[in-house]
Amino acid sequence: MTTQHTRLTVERVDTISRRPSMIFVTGTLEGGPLHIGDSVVIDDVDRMGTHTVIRSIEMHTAPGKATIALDAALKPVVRSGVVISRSE
Amino acid sequence: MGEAGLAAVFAALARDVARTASRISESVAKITERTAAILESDARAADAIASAVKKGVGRRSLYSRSGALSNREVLAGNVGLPRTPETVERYVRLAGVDFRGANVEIIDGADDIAYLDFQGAVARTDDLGVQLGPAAFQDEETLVRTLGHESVHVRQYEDGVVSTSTGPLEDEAYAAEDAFVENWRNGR
Repeated sequence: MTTQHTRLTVERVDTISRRPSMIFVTGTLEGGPLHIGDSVVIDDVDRMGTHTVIRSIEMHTAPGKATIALDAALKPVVRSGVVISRSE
Repeated sequence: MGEAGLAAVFAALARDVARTASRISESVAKITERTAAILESDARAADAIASAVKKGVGRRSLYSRSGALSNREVLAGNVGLPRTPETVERYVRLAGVDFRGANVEIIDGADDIAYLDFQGAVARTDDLGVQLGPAAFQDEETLVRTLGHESVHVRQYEDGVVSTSTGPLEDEAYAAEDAFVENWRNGR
């Protein structure tokens, strides 16, 4: 039996005017659900991996998509195609 | 024309009447059959719609999740209720909504509109409070449903139950909307 790894493949990054400290990252989620406070690693271009924590989760999402909020400082590394995985 | 001639004419007329009556009868039977098929089809469609509404599908497409108009359309057309804190306060009071002290903001920036319309939402909530987009104000009932819906999300954030499995949380919020609408209608 195998356990599917939880990962979000980024498709879109948004900002909201009254939430300047966060970016809203939307993509396709595989594996289990993500929760606020979960530790995740962003598989960035350097392949070093950037570790962070989910700050919030969007309740109203486009069909079939999941949206998580991360620290706005991570915007340079969170781009379309990047994979965000839950740290095990 | 003699009696024999008249009898022949009447006989011919009678045959014509009989043929016409037969054709009318056939046509009526066909129309009846077709009508029954249409009614059966309509009944199936009505059942499907009723089932969808019962499951909340209809409400999802019309109210808190996404109004009839997008945020961009409401902003561009400047339609609906005044998008002011006073409007929010009025409908919160009329609908008996409890935001448990959460901050409630009205947002209409370009990034906000793009984000909400992408998500198909008229409003959003997180642990910093509630944000209402222009489409939440497109009519009274949409605003009432939105305020009630988001107040449920405020409580869900407080309870720490929010995850990317949003289905049950959304179901709970949609299920609560009708009670707020009833409060508002009774208090008008």
